[in-house]
Amino acid sequence: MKPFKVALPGSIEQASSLQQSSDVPFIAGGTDLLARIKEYITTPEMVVDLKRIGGLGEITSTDHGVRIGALVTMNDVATNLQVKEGFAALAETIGNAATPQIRNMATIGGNICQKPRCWYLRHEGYSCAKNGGSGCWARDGENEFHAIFGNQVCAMTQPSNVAPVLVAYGASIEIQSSVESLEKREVPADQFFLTPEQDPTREVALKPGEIVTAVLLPAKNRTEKWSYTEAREKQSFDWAQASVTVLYQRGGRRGDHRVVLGAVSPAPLRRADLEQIIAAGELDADCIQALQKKIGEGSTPLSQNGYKVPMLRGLMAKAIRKLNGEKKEG
Amino acid sequence: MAEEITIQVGFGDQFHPLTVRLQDGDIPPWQPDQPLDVVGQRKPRLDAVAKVTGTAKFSQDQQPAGLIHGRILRSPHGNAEIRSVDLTAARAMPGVRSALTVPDTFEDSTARYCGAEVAAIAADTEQQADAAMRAIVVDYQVKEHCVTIDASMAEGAPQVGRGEQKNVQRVSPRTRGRRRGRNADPDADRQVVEQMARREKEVDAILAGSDSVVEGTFRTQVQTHAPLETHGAVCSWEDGRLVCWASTQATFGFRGELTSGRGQVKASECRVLSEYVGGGFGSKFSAGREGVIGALLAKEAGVPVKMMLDRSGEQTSAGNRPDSLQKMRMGVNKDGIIQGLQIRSWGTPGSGIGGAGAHNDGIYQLGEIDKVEYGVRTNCGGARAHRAPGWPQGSVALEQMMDMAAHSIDGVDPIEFRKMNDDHPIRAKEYDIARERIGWDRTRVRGGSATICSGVGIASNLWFSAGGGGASALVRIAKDGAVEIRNGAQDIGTGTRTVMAMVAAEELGIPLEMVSTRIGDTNDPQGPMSGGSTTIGTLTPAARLAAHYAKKELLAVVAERKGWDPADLDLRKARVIRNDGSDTGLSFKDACSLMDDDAIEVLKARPRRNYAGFSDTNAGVQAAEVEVDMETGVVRVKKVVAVADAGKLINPMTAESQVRGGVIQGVSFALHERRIMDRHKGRMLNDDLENYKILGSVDCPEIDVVLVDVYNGKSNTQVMGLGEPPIVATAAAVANAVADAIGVRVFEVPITPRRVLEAIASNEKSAAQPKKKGARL
Repeated sequence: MKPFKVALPGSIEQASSLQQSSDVPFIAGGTDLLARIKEYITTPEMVVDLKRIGGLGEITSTDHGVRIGALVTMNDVATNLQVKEGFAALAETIGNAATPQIRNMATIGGNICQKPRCWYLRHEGYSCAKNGGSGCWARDGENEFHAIFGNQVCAMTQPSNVAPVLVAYGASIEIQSSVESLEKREVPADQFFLTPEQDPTREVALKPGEIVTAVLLPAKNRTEKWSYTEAREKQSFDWAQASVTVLYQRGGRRGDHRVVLGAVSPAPLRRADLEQIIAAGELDADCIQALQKKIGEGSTPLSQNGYKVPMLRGLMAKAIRKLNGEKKEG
Repeated sequence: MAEEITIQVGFGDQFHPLTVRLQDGDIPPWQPDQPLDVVGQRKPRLDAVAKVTGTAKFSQDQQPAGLIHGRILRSPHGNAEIRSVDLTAARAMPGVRSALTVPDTFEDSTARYCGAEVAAIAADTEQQADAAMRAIVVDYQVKEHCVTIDASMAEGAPQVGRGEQKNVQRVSPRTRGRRRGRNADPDADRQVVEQMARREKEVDAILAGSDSVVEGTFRTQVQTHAPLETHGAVCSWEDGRLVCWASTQATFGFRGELTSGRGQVKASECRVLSEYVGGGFGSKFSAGREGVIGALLAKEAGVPVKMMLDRSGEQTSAGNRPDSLQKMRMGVNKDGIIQGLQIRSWGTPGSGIGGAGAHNDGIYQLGEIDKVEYGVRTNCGGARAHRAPGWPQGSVALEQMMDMAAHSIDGVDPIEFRKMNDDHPIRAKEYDIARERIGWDRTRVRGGSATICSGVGIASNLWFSAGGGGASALVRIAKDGAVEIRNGAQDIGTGTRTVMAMVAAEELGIPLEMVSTRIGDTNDPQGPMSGGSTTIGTLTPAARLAAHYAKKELLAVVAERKGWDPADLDLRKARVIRNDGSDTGLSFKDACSLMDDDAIEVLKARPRRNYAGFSDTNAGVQAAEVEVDMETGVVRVKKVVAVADAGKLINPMTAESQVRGGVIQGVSFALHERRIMDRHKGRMLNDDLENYKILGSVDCPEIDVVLVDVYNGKSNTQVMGLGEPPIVATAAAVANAVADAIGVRVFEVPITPRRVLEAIASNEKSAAQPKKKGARL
């Protein structure tokens, strides 16, 4: 590991002004960044530790919904009563992620900003579109766990299990920066996560100096049903190979439901075409069949990841069955 | 003066007398009707608390004064020649104390795989060592590489080896006189080829005459050892003498390499210490380049050097279980008897070909066998022995063939089919235990349209080892009653320390708590390497002999001081007793206090040879129960019943632990572990513990261990090896259970969601199409 300095700012303004470029990363739980520093994937001279900044570690209720401070640990999010009752799919996905040890260190803000797990990106010596070069080694290389949608420029998958769930809930990401005298903005989750076509070198819509300060969950329709299903090889410490998040509003119309796919594309993939199928009729066998027929549309599997299409079909069926069996109101 | 005695051998209710000619000085094995106070009891390992609380110091934990840190620079290329290595800049870096190059030190300028050692440095801090390592300038001539079995076997593939070495080379049957880098004598080779052709023809004919022929092509993957403690040592030179705290499975072998005139270190004296070892699984027999490098860097630096591998070095360069491609045809008659088997197998042990074979003949009566094994050279890190080398991969193929053969003759029950072709007396019983405990005959949801399917599978194992010569133990009884047993071999986690103490306690008639064990120090009496599941079989007879003769000496002291007949005295429950069982009034401690000297010390070697005994092989049967999610392809192993035997069980608790470890590693092999090599740069992409998936605690099945105690009479402790056999059958049992559950066979391990989904899809596609039959391999 290359030695680095640690800055310990006490305010967002100080922290923001310390990050002139992405070469000075922010650190919260450190579960992703430190691993990349150890492997010389990134070699910062300085990291900016956010943990002394006040006000980022609480979950609070507001008129608009629930505000989760960026420094709240994954475990604290998953066990929070407001989250469990109002946004159960979020609690569910976090409960599956990584290990208890990691969930106790990792923060929600860090989780949505983590770098892709692509094994080419995480080894020295592979220059690609993501790290300033061009091309994608995985496309005609080892790609069992890579993307099957939107994989032309870069076949990474968005590593955050939470990301598709936030998109489904219509969450926003609160961002602050001192660049324009402590400008604060809220970015809808579906615009926060970027595709490689938008910018291959960034996975999230943060500019230098911008800090994620909170995840905002909107107030909810109380009749909502939800399901989160994912498949992965191991139950302990593994990443999802595919996930399906469905939010269903009883009596809802087109546009009220949400279907978001995870771990199959560089950014969470909201599928309006599948939402329409759900809106069109009952949650029955015909609906499952129609969804399964449609779900692979637009996919461009690579040499080793074609299995993700039938896996998505399976998860979709599980998701609908779970909605039907799920009596719990949102 | 060899003494002839009659002993009882056998197990359960099957015992028979056997006449044994005791070798000089040996003592009879424990008998089935003999009451034992310590041996056979469940005892937590003596170092359990130290290990769990972190007070146990592994090599990785050693911190001698002045310690500095070594790093090895590895080639980033799939295949390269090292033209030159320039250490100038690195040596000038802050904190650097010593450095070496692999071409100079080992006279090897090939870097035939990504991860091959190129140079090494040592510096005061880890950060300085990292920085200096990155300042080493290497000029590589990069060449084309092949990193998979298919790439190496392809027409026109780049040559991996040197000289005339072909990528694919037959390893069995062998042609005598084959030398390194050269092809065999053409005449001798021609004879072997002719014999092979005759054999093939004979077995072809046998298969043609069989009622049913089944065939399959199977693949298994490369599995790394992935021990928690990586390879390496902390090396220190004190007055010209080398001391190494080594993470090793062979303390004496490690010392031998560093003192050998043929090695690079040539230490005149070397002491190897290895009190605790964080796993080895067969990969830590050799000092390895890292051990040699550590010693040399410490010598030049003049201070101790810690040279432990990082995880990437561990994963790429410290050994692995080779992969396999196995093609088989089996002929079976309607009566259930196997007539013959044809096997062609290929395996990739790295740029060499040693260890390429997949073992599978020895458990069942397979009729006539025509078997040819090939090694395939690849630009990958070399294989090392990996827990039952060759066996799990051979078992995965053979056991699936057994199920397919059973199915082909009117669906004979797979367990009954095995019994028809298996004559091992212990396994015959073990099949029934496995059948009952896994719920073999329970109704299950299989295949079809169900979402979650359940299945069971069975497979067998064997092993061969009752240990052998090459071990001595020292038992020391002090005047104050302290008892110590010493041997210089290591405990790689198998419970050696505990079991040695138990044997000594039993023989001395004292509780286990009164005995302390010192192991893992080459200044102590010689002991074996922990390989081939021989450690406890080799060590315990020596331990028992040393304790036995120490007891004799102690009782002689008592007899002399008290004027008693020494032949009428014995020790039991820490008391001195007479042969009729009556107490002499003396405790063990009283007896010790009668010594004139400070201590009695007895050093005894065990006999070199074992006795004929009950059986030359362990048996063993495992059954697995799985659930498969037909929609996602995810396999969960719910339960494994592991029926195991290992001769006489000294400590059922540590024995059980061995079996659990084997099953866990076997399930991990069946479902998850695989080395992923990048075709572009020839690099291992999952050289970490994040993407190299190993079964975790949440994924562990219920493991139901059933131990069968066997009085096999092969040595005075009758111990057979148990480290390796429990991994042989696990993956095969899981594979058979998956096929049972989903109604289609997955011919490759690991059985990943991808492979399950692909198998289900291909099954749906080919459901209507008839299968071709009986093609040649």
